[in-house]
Amino acid sequence: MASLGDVARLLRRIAGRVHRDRLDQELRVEMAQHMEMRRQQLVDNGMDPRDAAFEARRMFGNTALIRDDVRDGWGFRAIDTLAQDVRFATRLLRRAPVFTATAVLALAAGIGASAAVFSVADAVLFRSLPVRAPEELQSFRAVQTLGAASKIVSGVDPATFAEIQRAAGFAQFAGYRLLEDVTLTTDAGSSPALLRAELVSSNYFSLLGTRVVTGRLIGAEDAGAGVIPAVVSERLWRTGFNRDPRVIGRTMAVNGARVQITGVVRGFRGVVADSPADLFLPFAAAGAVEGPSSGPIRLVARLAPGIRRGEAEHQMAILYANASPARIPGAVVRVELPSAQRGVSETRASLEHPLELALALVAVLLLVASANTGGLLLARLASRQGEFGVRIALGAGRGRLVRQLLVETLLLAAMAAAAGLVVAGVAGPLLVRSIPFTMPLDYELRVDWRLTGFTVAVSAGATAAAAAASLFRLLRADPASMLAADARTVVGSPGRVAGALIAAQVACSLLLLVGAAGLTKTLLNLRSVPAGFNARETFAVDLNTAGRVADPGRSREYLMRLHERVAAAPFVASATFAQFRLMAGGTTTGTVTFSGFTPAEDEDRWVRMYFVGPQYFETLGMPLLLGRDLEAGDRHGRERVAVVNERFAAFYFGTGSAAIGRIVNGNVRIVGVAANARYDTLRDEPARVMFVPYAQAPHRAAMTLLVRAAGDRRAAIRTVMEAIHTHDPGLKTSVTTGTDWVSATLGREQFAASIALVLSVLAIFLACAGLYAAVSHAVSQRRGELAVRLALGATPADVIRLVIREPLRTTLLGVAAGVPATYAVMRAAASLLFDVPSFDAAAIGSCGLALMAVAAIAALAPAIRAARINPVTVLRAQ
Amino acid sequence: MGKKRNARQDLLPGTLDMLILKTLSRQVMHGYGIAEHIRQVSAEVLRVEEGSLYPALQRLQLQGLIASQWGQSANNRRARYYRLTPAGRRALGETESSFSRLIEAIARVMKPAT
Repeated sequence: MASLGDVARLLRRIAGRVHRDRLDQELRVEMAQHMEMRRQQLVDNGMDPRDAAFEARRMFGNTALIRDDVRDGWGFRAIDTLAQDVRFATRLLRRAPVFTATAVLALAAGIGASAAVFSVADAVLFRSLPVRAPEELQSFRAVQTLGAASKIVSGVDPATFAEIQRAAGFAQFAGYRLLEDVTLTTDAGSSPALLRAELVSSNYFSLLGTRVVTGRLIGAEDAGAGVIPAVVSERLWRTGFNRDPRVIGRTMAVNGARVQITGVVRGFRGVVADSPADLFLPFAAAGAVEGPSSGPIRLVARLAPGIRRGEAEHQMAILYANASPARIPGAVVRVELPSAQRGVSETRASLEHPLELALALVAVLLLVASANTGGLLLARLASRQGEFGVRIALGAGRGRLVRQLLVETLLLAAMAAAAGLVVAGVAGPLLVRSIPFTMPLDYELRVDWRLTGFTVAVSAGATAAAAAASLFRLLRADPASMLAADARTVVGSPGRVAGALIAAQVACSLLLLVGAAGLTKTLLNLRSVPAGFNARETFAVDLNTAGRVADPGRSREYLMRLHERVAAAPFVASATFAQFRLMAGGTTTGTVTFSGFTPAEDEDRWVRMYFVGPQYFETLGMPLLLGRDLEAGDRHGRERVAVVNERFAAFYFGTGSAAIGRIVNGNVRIVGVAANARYDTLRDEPARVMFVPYAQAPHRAAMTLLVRAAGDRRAAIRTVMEAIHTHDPGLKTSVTTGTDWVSATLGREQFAASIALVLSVLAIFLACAGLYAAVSHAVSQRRGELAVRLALGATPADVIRLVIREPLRTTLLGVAAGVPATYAVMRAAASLLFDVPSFDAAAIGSCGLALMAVAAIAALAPAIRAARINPVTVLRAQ
Repeated sequence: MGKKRNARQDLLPGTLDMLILKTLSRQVMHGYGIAEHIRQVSAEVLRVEEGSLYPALQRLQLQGLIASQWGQSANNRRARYYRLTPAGRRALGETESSFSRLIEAIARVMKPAT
């Protein structure tokens, strides 16, 4: 029966609070009038007017007390006491600046680290696109399979896009194309900014359902010619235009083409999550801002109501196969429409695991921070025992004391949360930038309500956990013993709860330390894996030759002349071409047939194929075990040749010498056998590989120039870039060194290892600070006892041993407790580890010893102070 | 329940609320009127310390048993008038019956039937 009446009462009470002053005023008036009426009546009854006023007041009673009584009924007292508690807590915290700073810093470290990792995880893994019903969005991917070879395509050409838009009844499609490094000049005088832009179809914004800050978004009305409309992101509007509301209609130059701002889109940075854009232009602007060449259009779709994804994929496959001319003849086309709820990202999949691990590790650090603060609060409670004892003895409600303790911890939590948010704002972007990757990562991190909410929740949780021990102690203690404990200085060990808190910190630190050790060992193990080629002296220049040569027949000649120029450049030892460089993710799968070979399984026919240029093996420093390198003479029209790797030779022919000279796939002669190398990552077992001259393979516009430097690699890069520029100033290039492309494959491992390392250092630091504080506290509580011992003839060494024994035992206990937990963490991180056992006794042993050592150092300082106690002064003070 | 400071012994604890509700069940009244009414009707036996009415009035109002409104008094003063709400009427019924049961019980104890 409570509900409605209670709610009504509550509402009245709230309304009462709001009108507190008015109510008070009304009450005064009412009471004054009551007395006036009484006085009037007394006068009417014949009393002397002066006596009447007095008598009326007497009959009424104590107005001040009555007003207090009434106010109690209004429920203001609770607020008053709360304000009192807050004021009192603030004063106390300010009076103990060291305690406050330590507690806030410990919590802020844990909270800040969690918030930073969360902000990255949110951007990469959790956050949906800021569009209408993001869960309905799909992206597009076509897999063409011919035999065992497959090719994944995520874009279509403009004609196919138009056909898909026209014919698809099962879904609506919008298109976009990402443009990296667009030059934006806002004013004639200002320096241009480089930013990312998206070219979008006219239905892009309406299909996505994005919202606008001001102006309007690109729509169907922009299809015609005239001035190019541009939509800017909220971020660009803020940083580039100072939130100018009159930005609409302004013109600016994008890659030299004049565009006019029509709108500012709210919160949205494009569909590609790891490459957020700041500028949106219609497809019609492609020619003006991009020049004649253009890339494929990527698709984003919303399924028609009632259409299931499988059905849409099936229909799309038929539509795509018919519409797309770029299809490999005879290939089987399968279309996938994966969810685009969180945006499209090539890098998400590989970041998923390290980020999940990071979240887990950061939770462990948070535990450490909570335990640490818990210990601090407990020690503080102990030193305030006297105060609390007196207050309880004087009749303070235990609830009031608990509330005061809670208010104090909440204040600490609020400060820590604020500091944590600042830490997250700084550390989050650093974290993203610290991920070495095959491509630059630019996930957009935000300090928004999600992050704030997370931080507040985490802070509340951590502080509640920290305060739990103190509350427990406070609720159980009786005032007499509290007073006694304050008066007498003989207290036993620092207390089981405090010890457990220290042990928990040590256990968590061990966990993090062993994890960091395992991940670091993984990195070292992987780095010591021979890549099988000379990464240190080589570098790659990715070239996009699309549109550089009008006649495809002349493109080989174009590349040949470029090769000659580069090979002749100073500091160049050797140069070659390849369609994909190693360890860049790109690869072609092919099949092998030859007479006398019957595959036991279909998979036995599959091999990797790399299309490479002359002197490939010499340039990469990949040893040839038998036969010869590929040469300039291995051209189109000559005998088709291939170099295979050791595994290939061993798998199909038993030995390398048996492979040399054999004919495979009808007319390809094996002319050399190369040593095995790592082709994708350093983890993989080498696959069966066949290197085929690119001159004997289908033409591909994107080529990579591979160069081995003679001596100074940086000088070689410079001269090669000059040579390329002389050859064709318009050629688009990008340089990667061999060492970079090898270490880029270690991005996940490096990321996980550096996070674990940073967190374990923080955890150990916190644990040591906690231990130090606990021992110092214990020493200060035992001053009397220690002084007596010293006076009775104990040596300083005895005192040190006495003080240090307990914390060391606690640490040992923590290490022991942490061992099984390390196993769990290593199992969870297994996919990131390489050649590291889940239970690494050596690592656990050395980490445990290291922890013991730092714990001893942390405990030693207060122990030495204890040994220096002057018994006379201490005992006299008692 | 607010404490009744210096409350006359002639008021049983808890009875003030009941008296107020009963008084208001007949007509709408201001604070002074309520005090006067209780005094007169009880033939000046029940003497309420007048000020202690007000905490009780506030409490009853917060409980939703009475409501108030500012208006003009007979001699043209602004005064706050209290009236019984339906919930107050129900509460009055309940207290009245339990109170009379209590009185009967006490009476039986004091004057045992022969």
